[in-house]
Amino acid sequence: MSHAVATPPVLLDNTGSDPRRRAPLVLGGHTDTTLTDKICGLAERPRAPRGWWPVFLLSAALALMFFVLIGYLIGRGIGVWGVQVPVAWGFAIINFVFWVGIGHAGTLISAILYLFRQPWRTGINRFAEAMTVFAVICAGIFPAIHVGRIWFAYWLFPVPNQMLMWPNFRSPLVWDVFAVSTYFTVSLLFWYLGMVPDLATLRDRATSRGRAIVYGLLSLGWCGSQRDWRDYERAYLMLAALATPLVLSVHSVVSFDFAVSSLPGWHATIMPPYFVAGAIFSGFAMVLLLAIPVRWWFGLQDIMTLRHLENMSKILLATGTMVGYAYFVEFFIAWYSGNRFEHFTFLNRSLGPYGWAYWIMVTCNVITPQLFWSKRIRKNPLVTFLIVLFVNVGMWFERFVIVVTSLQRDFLPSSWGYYVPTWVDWGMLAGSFGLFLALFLLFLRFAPIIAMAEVKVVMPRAEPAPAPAPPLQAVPRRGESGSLAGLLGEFAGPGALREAARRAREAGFSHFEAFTPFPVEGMDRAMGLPDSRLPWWTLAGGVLGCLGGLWLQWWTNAVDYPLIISGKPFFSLPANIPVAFELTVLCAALATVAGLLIGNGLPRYHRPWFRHERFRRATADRFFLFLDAADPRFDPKGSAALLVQWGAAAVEPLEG
Amino acid sequence: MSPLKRERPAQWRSLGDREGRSELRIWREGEFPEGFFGGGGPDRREFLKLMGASLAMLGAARCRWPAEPIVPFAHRPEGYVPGAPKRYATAMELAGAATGLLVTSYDGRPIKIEGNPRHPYSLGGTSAWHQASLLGLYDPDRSRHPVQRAGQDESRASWEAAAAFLRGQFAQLAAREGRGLYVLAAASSSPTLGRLRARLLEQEPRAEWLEYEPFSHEDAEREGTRLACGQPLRVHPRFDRARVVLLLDADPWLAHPAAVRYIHDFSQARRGPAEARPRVWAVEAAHSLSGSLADHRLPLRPSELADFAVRLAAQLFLGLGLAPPAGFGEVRALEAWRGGGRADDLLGALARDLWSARGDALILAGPRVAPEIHALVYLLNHALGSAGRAVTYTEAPEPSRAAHAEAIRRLADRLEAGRVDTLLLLDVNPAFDAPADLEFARRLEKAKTAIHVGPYRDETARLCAWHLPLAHYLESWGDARAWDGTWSIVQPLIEPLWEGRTAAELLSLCVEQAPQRAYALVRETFRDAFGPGAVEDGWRQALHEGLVEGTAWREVMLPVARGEWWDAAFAQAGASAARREGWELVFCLDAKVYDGRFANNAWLQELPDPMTKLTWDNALLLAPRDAQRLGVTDGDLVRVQAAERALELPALVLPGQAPGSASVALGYGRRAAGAVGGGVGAEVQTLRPADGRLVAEVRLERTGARRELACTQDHWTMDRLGAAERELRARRFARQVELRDFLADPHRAVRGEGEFHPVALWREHTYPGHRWAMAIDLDACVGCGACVVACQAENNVPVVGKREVLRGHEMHWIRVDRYFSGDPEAPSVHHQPVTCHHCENAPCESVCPVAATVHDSEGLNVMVYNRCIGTRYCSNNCPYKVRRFNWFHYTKKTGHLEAMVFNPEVTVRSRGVMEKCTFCVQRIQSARIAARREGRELRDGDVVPACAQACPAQAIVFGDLNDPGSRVRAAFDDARAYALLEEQNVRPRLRYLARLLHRTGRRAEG
Repeated sequence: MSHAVATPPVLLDNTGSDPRRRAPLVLGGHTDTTLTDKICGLAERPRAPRGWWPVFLLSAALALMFFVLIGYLIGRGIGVWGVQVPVAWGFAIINFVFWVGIGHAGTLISAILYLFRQPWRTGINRFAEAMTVFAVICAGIFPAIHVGRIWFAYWLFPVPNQMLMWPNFRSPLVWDVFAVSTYFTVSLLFWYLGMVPDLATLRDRATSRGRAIVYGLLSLGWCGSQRDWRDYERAYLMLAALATPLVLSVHSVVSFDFAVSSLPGWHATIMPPYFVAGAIFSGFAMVLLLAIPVRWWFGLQDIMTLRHLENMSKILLATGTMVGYAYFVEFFIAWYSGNRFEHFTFLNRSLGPYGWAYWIMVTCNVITPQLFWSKRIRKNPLVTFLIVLFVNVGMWFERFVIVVTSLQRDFLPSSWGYYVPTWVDWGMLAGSFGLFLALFLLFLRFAPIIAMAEVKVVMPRAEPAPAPAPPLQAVPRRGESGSLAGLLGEFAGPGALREAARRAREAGFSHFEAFTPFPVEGMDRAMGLPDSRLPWWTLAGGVLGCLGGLWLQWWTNAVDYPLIISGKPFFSLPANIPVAFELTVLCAALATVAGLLIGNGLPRYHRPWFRHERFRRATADRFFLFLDAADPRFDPKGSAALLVQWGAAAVEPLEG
Repeated sequence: MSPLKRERPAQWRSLGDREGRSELRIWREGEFPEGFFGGGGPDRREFLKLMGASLAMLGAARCRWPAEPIVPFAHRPEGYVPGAPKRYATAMELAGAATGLLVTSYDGRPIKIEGNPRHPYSLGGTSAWHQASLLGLYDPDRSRHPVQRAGQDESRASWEAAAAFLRGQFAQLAAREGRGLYVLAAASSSPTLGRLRARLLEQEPRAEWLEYEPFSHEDAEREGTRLACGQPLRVHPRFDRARVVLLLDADPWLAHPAAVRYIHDFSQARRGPAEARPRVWAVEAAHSLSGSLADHRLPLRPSELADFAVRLAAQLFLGLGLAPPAGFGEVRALEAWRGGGRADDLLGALARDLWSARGDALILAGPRVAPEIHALVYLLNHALGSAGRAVTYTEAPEPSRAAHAEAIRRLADRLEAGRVDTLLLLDVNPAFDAPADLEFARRLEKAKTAIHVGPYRDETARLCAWHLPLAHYLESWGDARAWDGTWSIVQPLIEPLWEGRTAAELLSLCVEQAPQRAYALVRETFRDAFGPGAVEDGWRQALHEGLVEGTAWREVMLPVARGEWWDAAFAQAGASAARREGWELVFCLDAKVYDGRFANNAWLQELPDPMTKLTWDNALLLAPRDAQRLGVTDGDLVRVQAAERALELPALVLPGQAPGSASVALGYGRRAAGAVGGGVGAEVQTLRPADGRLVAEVRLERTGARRELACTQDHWTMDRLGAAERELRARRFARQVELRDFLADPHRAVRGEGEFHPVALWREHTYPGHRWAMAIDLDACVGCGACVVACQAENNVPVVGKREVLRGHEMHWIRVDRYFSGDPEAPSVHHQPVTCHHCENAPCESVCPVAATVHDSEGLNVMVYNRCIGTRYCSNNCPYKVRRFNWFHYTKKTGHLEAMVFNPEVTVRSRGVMEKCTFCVQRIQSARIAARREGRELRDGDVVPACAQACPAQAIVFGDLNDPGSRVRAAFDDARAYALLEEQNVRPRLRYLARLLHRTGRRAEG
């Protein structure tokens, strides 16, 4: 994210042929100031935007119904659903897979596109990550309530219990527990960590004490110092690197629920890539489904531009085609394998009693996205909205088809059945949407919905020459030297600040700090900061997680309580890889965040510059250099002159 | 017993009970005093001693005996171990024939019924009805005390009042020699009851005693044999001897009082050498279970049956030159019936087959067949030389009694004529099950005094002045005779739970100066029969063995007489040719609720019908072609218009039903059956003709309305794709092999071309101790469903009700899959019991996240209920779909009384938990303990799971694969053995033995 300033708009777009003529990512002539005002303004509105309350109340009512139905389910038993033998899994698992899939877009945008240096992601990533977190919350509820005895669901975790038994680490459901909880944790960290600088912006702009406290607490005392940014960016990179395999693994593990079973229609090696493609497909569809109305509702067309929509449409086209290919390959393999059960399962899927669901799925998922070949359609938000609506319906039906039609008619025709969802099933599906929307609306109302710090990095910026020092604030006020903490010089832009930092270092200063509203390329080199040591934390966490995971599985299943399960050996590595992997990622991510917080002394709510009125804009649109009074080279008068000499527009002393 | 003590009872015997009056508290506290049954086997003396003592103690709260203080055991009775189950021999009578049983009692509480291997009509097996009768004992809807009715007022009465009334009434009647006294009694073979009946008729000579069964097995047979030889006979088909069997609308393996024995004989015969393997031909309208076992089956409307039989006779006598029996005379009258007819092809082959098996050929006609045709069958059996060999005869009991259909008609007439002063109804329910045209309920009001004695306050009881509760057989002393006359003593397992008394006790009240208790009555009969000398030893022997040896009736051999029936048979046959229009409705005995008497038995209501897999209902069974013609599918309501009445019945397509006919099960539509059976199904006896025939001519019409039918298989109408695949798989899964092909190349015939070689991907676990396994012989299995109910009783399997069955929530641990293949009008039927296969590589186990289902060291796939959290993944991954999930808390509302039926050795599962067949692991454990106490190794046959135990065909064998001499090892090594879904490499510990078909070379129709 730090390259943009150095080489302004060069890498921004891949659609034009002339790199110099590529369109900017943010339109409407936004500057740091206007952008900050715009985004923060949304969260700072004293009243909710028009239409927010009705939609929120409706969603909240649905969410409430969801919880009432969960209570009913727990009180009465799983029989209130339509599930039965043979279709022992129904809407709960369908909804679970659906919501987990939705979540994938957020992680993909924030992690994978980040690694692939796709700066257009910045306009939508906050939004998409929030969607991920809420979707995973919805997803996580279903497997928990779908067990027959929810009060013993904690046995899924390897915690010591009265029966001295351990989970069976060969079960894909245990893998699921690890995968989804890791995924949720990492997504949440990623989302939250990304939001910290923006929360700091909101804190600094807060007009009421309440908001100041809430945003203050949430922003952990972030002040945009260069040392913070250095570790922060490294942490972000580490998390992105961890989240990338994670995002691929989560839906792969979810697909193992099916692939590892022996049921025709489930037992297939194509499942992981097919599920991941489908997840990204549905996730992007959901991002678009939310983004199109929201950009219009909140007037964000300049930030979530048509180009964003178009890029996402292209991803939909690509993943939709992959999904279509997977549908085709499933059929081909069913025929090619010569396995009659497999063969029949797929015939039954398309022509049997649930054929209607299959054809809804194919129409929505394979045929409608093909419209995105047309640039006109890609540029038309309304048509795009309709298409992604279809895609979301289709992807829900895809899970329905996979879960239900495979179970419905398996091996023995005597036990074939027909699954009919009950009103509770439908109510819970609607309720999960209510919960999702309610959370999302709260997010829209109170959080920075655009990653301001990141967008600022990619904004076209005319770097002005260092402005002449305004005489008004050129002379530092004198205070008692014992209480003087240092001098704060304000600079016009990131370039001027970087130059000043370089000159400070060259002048022999060692105790100084630069504050910027977004990370500035080359600043650490200009300041002479050493490389971040954060990757070591990540490595240590990862190694510990991996070894710990393997040890846990070996010790519990092969040493402490060995059981004959499916005639398999007590210990066998292949079955233990998913959990070991998830623990690796989880521990590495936790260690990274811990490293960031510990290394930078966060959270820390008291810093000298917080008291300074002017400094509040350091998290919005101003750039500061702070010379610490503790520096041996520091001398109040001379240093102030130096700051002015280096191009500071204003210099102020800071009380200690 | 503590839960019984404190709480307010959910059931109560009386208001006093509910309010917790002290005498009843005492009764409850003393409900199962330890040592109620003291001894088993060798220490009979102990038992009798205790019977005397503890009965008196137990009776504290009962009106029959004076209250006495309860004295707890100061010393444990010798030989009594609390918590150790004991087994006692008794017998259950159904439709006038007894089956010997062994009942397991747990601390004085009967919990399981099994067949008595020594009894000739059980041979260790039971039917579903026997198994389920246990639940009837604990039925809270059973009648609990006498009720007196005056107009609309009903009041609880005491037995003292009832006894006083009865004595007065009968004394009055005796004064006029019993004029106006009518007794309508269910068929009973009880010698004690017979003795008391004789006594009654002696005192009241002008009284009339009528025997009535709504579905009579014997009416036609008795009449037919009487026509043929001048005396009603009881027919005993010998399936163990017959080589060719022709069933003329007969269902000896399900709807027959001796079905358990017949299944046994038949399966034994099929186990014999292949050359002597019996071949079965069936000609019938309704697709009966027996018909489904036939090698050739011809669906024929009931009216065409006479034509078929006469043509068969013509073919045999004239075509093949079979000589009529000596003294019978000419058979030339049959000339007109040679050749032609609808089933000409089959007739020729059938006649040749019967002819070539002369002496071992058996023809059996069923209860719907006209008496003349029964007579013809008698003639044919004699002519074929089979009489005395493949079929034997004994004198029918009570040769002079009226036919059942005649009896009810006569009583109805007498009621209408106002000639009935006192009507005693003994364990019958004519207000429900008499043909509707007799309007029995209305006419019953015309009796001056009607006294009903029965186990329930049923439809009839509600119309009678007096209702007296009848004791369950498990709480009664009594006696009964098997189908062949073998004498058994009915021994109680428990004190009557309510105030029920036996029929004999009741008659004793009516006719004896000093009424006696059932025990004394039975002893007296016994003494009369076997002499005073035999009474002690003989009695004890009889109690212990469950029967008295050598009491079967003697076979008789009476020559065929030519009479009017000979021409009547032709007339019947001629009439059938004329009647081609209209629908014929066939009434069948229900495989579950019988004639309605078991309607309140939830185990039976939920038992899937062997042919249709229908639960909790009866339906109009139609041939596929006919259903198409009517434009109906499963569940569409059809208006059935009989002569006077009409009824709407849901259609159910049953391949193999004779086109032009429809069949329907009796026994449903009970209005006052109890909480379980009330209002289940349709009351089809309203369509039954007044003459009591089991066939009616009806008109059928689609109504357009629907009623969902709860079938456990094929819940929905199958689409063409699914139907085709189902049939294809049925042939692979429930294999049937032509005997010819099997003899030529057994391996190939059973296993086909493909051979599966299991490959181990890892070092496999070994099972050096026992390797429990099961084999199910599809050739022996008749699909009767006894195993299903036996399993339910043994393993506390809950009943879920119609709505839950409709939703696919049934809980049976063993199910009998039924498939059809071939021509839908004349299909092959495959019956295949499916339990948990206990796969060595069980797919259910690896997917369970909490290791709630794992293997034990002997290779059992065990389900750990208290570890299960209910993800249901195991069920998804089970290729056999034998796992059952507790969708709701099915046992939550179980009252204290119903809870008594639970087997204490098996966990009662709560909701949210998966369950499945355990191979009766509790029985393995008890056998292991028993063997250890005797200081020996487990032997083959020590462990018998409930399903295997109940199976009359002994189709299920269980044992240790590591034991080279075990039967299960032999079965696994049999050429017919195959594993279901072998290619899944799950290594099931269950093998099936393919069924063999013994069809004639010429592939005849069917």
